[in-house]
Amino acid sequence: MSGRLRSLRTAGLLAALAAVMTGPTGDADHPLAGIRGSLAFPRVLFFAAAALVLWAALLGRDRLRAQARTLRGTALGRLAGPAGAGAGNGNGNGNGAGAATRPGATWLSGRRGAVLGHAALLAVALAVPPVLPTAAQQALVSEIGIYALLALGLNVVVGYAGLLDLGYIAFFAIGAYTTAYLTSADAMPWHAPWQLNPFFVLPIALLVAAVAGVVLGGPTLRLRGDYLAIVTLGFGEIVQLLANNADGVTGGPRGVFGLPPLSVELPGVRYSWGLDPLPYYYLLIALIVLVMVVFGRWERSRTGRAWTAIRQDEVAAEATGVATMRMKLLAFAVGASVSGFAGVVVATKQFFNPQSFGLQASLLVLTIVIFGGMGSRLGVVLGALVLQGTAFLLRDTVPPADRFIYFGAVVVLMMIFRPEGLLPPRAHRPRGSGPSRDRSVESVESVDSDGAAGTSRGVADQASPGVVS
Amino acid sequence: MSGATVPRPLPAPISRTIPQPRPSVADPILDVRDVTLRFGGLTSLDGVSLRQGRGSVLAVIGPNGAGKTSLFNCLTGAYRPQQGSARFWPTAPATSANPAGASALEGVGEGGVELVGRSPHRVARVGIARTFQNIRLFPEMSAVENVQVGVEVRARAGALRGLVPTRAVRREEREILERSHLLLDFVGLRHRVRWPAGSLAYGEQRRLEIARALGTSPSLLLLDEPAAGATASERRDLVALIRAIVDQGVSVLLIEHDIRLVAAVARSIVVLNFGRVIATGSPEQIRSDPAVVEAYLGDSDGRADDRAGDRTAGQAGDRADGREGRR
Repeated sequence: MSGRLRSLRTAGLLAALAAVMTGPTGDADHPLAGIRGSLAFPRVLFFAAAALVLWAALLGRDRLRAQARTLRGTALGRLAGPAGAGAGNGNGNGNGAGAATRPGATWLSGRRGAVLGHAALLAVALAVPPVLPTAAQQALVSEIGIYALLALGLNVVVGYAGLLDLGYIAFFAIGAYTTAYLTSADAMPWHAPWQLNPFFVLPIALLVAAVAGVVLGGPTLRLRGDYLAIVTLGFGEIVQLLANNADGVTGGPRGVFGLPPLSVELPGVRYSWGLDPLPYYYLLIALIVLVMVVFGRWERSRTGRAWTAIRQDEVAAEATGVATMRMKLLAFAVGASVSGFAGVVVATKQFFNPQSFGLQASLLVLTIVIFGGMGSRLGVVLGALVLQGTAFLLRDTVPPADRFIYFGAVVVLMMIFRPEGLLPPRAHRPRGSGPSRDRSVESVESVDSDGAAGTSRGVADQASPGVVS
Repeated sequence: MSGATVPRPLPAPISRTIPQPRPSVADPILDVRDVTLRFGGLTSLDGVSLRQGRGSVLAVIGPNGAGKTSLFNCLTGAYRPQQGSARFWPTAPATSANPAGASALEGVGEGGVELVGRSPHRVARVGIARTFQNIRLFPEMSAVENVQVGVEVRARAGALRGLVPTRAVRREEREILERSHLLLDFVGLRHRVRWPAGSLAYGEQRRLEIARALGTSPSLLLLDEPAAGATASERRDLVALIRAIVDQGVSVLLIEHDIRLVAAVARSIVVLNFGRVIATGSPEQIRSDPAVVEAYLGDSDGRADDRAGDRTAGQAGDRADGREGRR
């Protein structure tokens, strides 16, 4: 009963929030006029109806979930049948006998589901943007894509290794200014004696940012928790102030513009990214996918486990033989280098000045990571999409001064109802702790990802005719 | 579930079996000399010396605050004593076919390895593993992942090589996982492989911590009050487990309050009080040593023994409550 009331309250609050967000705005003389206007007569009916629909959905959620589970169960049962028969043919990796196949099959289909889900998301991400208006494309690049990349980098530092870095945006700045230094003779007062194609700057910026990460991390990673946060905060401020005040080097507050866009000039292939946002968007997608794949591999490797161990108990990790200092430096360097990537894209795409690299930007990236789900790659990308997308959608309806109120409201709601983030990493999700599982299944599960994929394909091949017929 | 824990043989390290040594004090594994540790004006350890024979169990006992855990912390690099030395002779390179292990063991000669001044992870790499008085696991990682972190200390693939799943890297990962499973089996946690460590029962967490420590292929295992808070049957299991560990050629240095447990596994005991060694000898000698009786056991042997047991159990209970409270 109380659960139902709580669902009603949630639905009502969300509907009211939506009403206010889409309604007219007040002004300084009539601060409440906006709210009154938002909840005026014809509108309020619509939102009340919306609240009821949402309430019904919330109430039906558990039943829907249960139904989905039974459906999935029967489907899997059908899948496992032929697969179990097939294992006897010596088609699998010989490790698991018939008994091992059943739990293996459920797990494999789970993984296959994840792969399919990722592929579907990627397809949507590739297909949808061309039909969007240019302003939305622009936002997808400079608000969402860039911040998704930044959040992926910060996710390594905060989500994996558990180091609170409040000056993360400084590495972004370093990447951007490195690009300016290397690619243009007149964007900044200080420039390299020769100019490079921005593509060659990608690895250089990655290295420079990684080195900056090590330089910052070397002396400061001995600090823990809050102390590290303060020091990194200071580092971020230093970089921004340097960029702002070293007029003779960076151009100061005027900022940097006129960098050459990304371009490929090979014999036969000639392409320039130009000013259109769409090519940059696809470049960002490529970078994000690359980073996600690399980090996914890392996450499941020794390195990822060492980071998790450090995050959960640094003393125990050190006593177990994990070189904690080196691993933390690695996390810092890796996070910084991804940020450097983002810096290159931003620098070639658009104007930037020191204001772009303020504390607020650092906090925004951190918010995205927490909102999306610390330690989850897809989570932080979706977090960037949702948070920055919300900001973009509010652009026309909400005056700039009010925008952060809604931004804050979204984050607060998230923390109340789903503190682990939009899409928490696998380890944090409640897992079925089945009493006794076969060990050979275990070893196949967590190690042999390629072999497992092979087996899953085998299962699919054998299963599909069974399901169809 | 605390019941029949029949220890199986300790699985061999990833690459090679440890040669089985014979216990003898003439062939030491650890030689601590004159270790003095001060915190400001407080002297925690005052010229502590002890010597442990290879393949033996040595117990360190003493009243609360005697400096037992401080001694452990000095040996494992968590504290740096102002004076003294602690030399350690690893049992062959922990995994001899392993460059990472071998490089950590370079320069191990007649004089052994100096532990004082080594950082904790380098102490672990040279072949000393430890457990903690207040269990320190990685609570959100699964049991097997906890052990994997230990086993991976001896792994070859570094951060960058591990990124590319070549055949060698994959084979090593499989070996690591297999060994981790065997270790869980060894401590009787086979049925908890996928459980988050934080959700295990108290006694299981203690055993998991031992499995993780064994994962680093140590030649010396430091156990800090492994029986604190354990039931009688868990204590019996623990005795069997420690014996099985020693049978595999791993020496054990043990801090424990429970005299009966100590007498069951250790042939020699060192008694600390106020940071000093006040007695060394066999359990029988220690029991009858007047200085020990006065400092640690109280007025009469039997009663005090029980009292000590109660006391540790009570403390463990408090600690367990504290852990609950913090979550």
